[in-house]
Amino acid sequence: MIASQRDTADNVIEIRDVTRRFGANRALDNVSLAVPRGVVFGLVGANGAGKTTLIRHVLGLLKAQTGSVRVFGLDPVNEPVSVLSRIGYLSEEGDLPGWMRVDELLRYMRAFYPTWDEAYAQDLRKQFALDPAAKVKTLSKGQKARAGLLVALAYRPELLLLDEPSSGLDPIVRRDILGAIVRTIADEGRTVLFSSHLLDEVERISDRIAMLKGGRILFTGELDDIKQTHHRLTLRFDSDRSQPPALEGILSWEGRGCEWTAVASGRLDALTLAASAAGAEVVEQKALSLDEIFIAQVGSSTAAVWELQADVLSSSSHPVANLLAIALWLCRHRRVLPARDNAHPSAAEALDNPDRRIGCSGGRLVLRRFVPVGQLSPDGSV
Amino acid sequence: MSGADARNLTFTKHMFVLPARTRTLVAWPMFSGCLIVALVWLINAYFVFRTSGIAAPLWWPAAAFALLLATFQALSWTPFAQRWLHIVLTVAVLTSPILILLLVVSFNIQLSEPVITGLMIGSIPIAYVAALSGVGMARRGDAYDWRAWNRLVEWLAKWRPVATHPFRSLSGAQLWYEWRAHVIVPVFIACLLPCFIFVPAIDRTNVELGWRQLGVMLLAPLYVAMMAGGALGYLTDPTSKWEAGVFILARPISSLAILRGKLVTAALQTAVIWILFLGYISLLLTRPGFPQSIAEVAWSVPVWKVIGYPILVLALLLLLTWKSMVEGLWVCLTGRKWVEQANSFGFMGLAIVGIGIGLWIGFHPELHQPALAAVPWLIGLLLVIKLAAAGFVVRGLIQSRLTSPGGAALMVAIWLVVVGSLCGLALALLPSEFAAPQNIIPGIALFIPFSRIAGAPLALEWNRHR
Repeated sequence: MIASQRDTADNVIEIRDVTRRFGANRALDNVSLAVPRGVVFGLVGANGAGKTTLIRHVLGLLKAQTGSVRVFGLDPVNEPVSVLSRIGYLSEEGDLPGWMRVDELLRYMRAFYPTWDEAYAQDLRKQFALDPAAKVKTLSKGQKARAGLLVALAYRPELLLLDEPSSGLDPIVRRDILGAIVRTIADEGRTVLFSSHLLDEVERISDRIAMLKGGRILFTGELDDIKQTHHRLTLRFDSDRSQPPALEGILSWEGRGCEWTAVASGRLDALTLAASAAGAEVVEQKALSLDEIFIAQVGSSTAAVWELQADVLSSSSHPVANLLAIALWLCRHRRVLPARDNAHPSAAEALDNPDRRIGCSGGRLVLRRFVPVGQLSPDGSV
Repeated sequence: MSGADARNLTFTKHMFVLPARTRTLVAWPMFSGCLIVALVWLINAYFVFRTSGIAAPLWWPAAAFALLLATFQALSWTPFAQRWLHIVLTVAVLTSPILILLLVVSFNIQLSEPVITGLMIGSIPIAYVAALSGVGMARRGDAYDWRAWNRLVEWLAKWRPVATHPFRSLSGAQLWYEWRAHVIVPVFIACLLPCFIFVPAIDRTNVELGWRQLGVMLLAPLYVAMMAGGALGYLTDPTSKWEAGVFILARPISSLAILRGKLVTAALQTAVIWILFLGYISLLLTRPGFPQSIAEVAWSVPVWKVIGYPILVLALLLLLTWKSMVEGLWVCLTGRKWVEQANSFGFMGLAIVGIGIGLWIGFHPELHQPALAAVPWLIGLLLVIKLAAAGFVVRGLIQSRLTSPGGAALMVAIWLVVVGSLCGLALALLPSEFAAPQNIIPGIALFIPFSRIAGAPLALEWNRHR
């Protein structure tokens, strides 16, 4: 990971209690976030988690319905010119005007930024192999991303905002984008905030991350700290078990018999103690990649619903439903489907109890409420 | 065919991957479309027009509508590497019926209805073959490409210097952007006018018709400007996708500066539109007897009127053209489709209701007097609404810090000067029976927009910070 060049304690971005709704959909839910100066800050989350909405608030393109957004200490809605002149922005969509030629694009953008470095811009243009006479609409997706990156970097902005910059791009363009981030933070006091699905990239270059899910921040902090509090533990029990125990901090379970592997969040010593109390011995402990942490944190509830659907379908007399149930059963035994495996037996029984279902017909199941593993008490009650 | 060219096709592209022959893909929408438009006409003609006592023809218009649709489908389904060629061909094809009609009238060609209907129905297969060829090309990723044009463009590009010198100011850059993004409007007019080059040649010796044509031609730029204004309201060029406005909105430029660029571009486009139309209007001078008729009118009035009136009329037409172009900017600047639709449907609704009420009053003589008595009250109500809207806009501009109280006062002063000048001119120049001050002053005050132009930065702010 690239070392941050933080030398001041002030925050470039401060977001406090921001909630944003689009109709009935809550895109951001009471989000608070601080991005210190001089760091590379990665925003990760599934599609629809609220990453782009958050970045648009920073740009002032969305107005906070509740709470406040400050960028360089200024409100981007009230003072857009002051804020935007210090931000370099590259969006996933590639919104450059198709009719412009590359040289016209550079000339036009230059007019907006007093700090525009023409020599640097030409250097980047040559490095990215962009023909100045080519129209933007004739460029490939990768070339468009490079052109967008060029105009976001050429005035050496204090804050670089990259919204899914690598999405759908080949490794060479992704390398250019990562190189740009490296270059940006090479200058003292400059900050990068970027969202990405490519978690290996985030892991390689981020100092801090925030993980979003359903418009809420699951956790935020130093990447090293986050990695140190997530573990893959292999537990060995004295006897075979059909279900794993409910332990606090366990995000997912995988295994059978007397050996089970868990993805867990928390302090290692506390987890080890809890495992001992449940009659298990930790035989192996591994650090998790950000990718694994992401899947464990974000993917659990979806998998649980699948599992329950499989159970419901398997009780159906319809042949198609039974086939689907078999397919889902096969999936369950080939992949980690954490919530069911992870649930306390009594909780699992409670979820399977027909009394807790609102309706179950045609293969559709609607639960009165879904209970993630983390919200179960040790005895399985909710 | 590049992705950009493929985007221009109106044929549903996912149908290309269906396991169906191209002729099937083309035949069904064309056949069903032709059948529907023909049936719509037949039902209207038979059940509406004929039952109302109007002897509307049945078959040849139905065939004409079907042929028109088939031709339009063939054109819109055919990929062209040069988009402008697509537009020019569409305009040429759609104006050709007028030309054919003129030829028929000019040469006094007598054709029976069955023959006309047969000719039109017989032409539909030609459109089908053209559509089949076009869709076939699009399906295999090809396009009609005018290679000579490409070579010309490449040759010209070699001579075009690389844009390296910076703009002198941000305003200059923004003006350049707006002009280039919306240059399609004058280009479109320049392509469109030659299609109507035959109009001054119609019934050439008829001097009275020449004057009528002059009137229509002088008013035509106002309609063109209204269309152009709609396009100018977008933050990108009219062909870009809706979300692409982020490119401008994420730049460090104030909403007022963006709007200033649009207003100046509208002024430049007004000038170009009028240069093109004046060139077109000058063709009227080729009509035998028409220049003499103008000279006769000129000799019959004082010299100051001969010089002053044309200048004044042209200045007013330029102002009106610019007004037509900018007064609707606010609608698109909101960046919301529903505002555009509500505005369009609202105006259509008001127009329909207004026409309905007008006709109702017209057919009931006993209502004429009360209606005339209500006119001053109606004008008064409209003035109050206008004043309230202006107050709302000024307050919004100051509150959102888009302008200072002094700036707002200057805007109001400019509006007052324009309205005052026009009132003065109208009272001085128009005959007194038409120019009663109680009619002229409220009329002009209602006609000259304030809120629609001054409110445009507010609309843009609403779009910018959602």
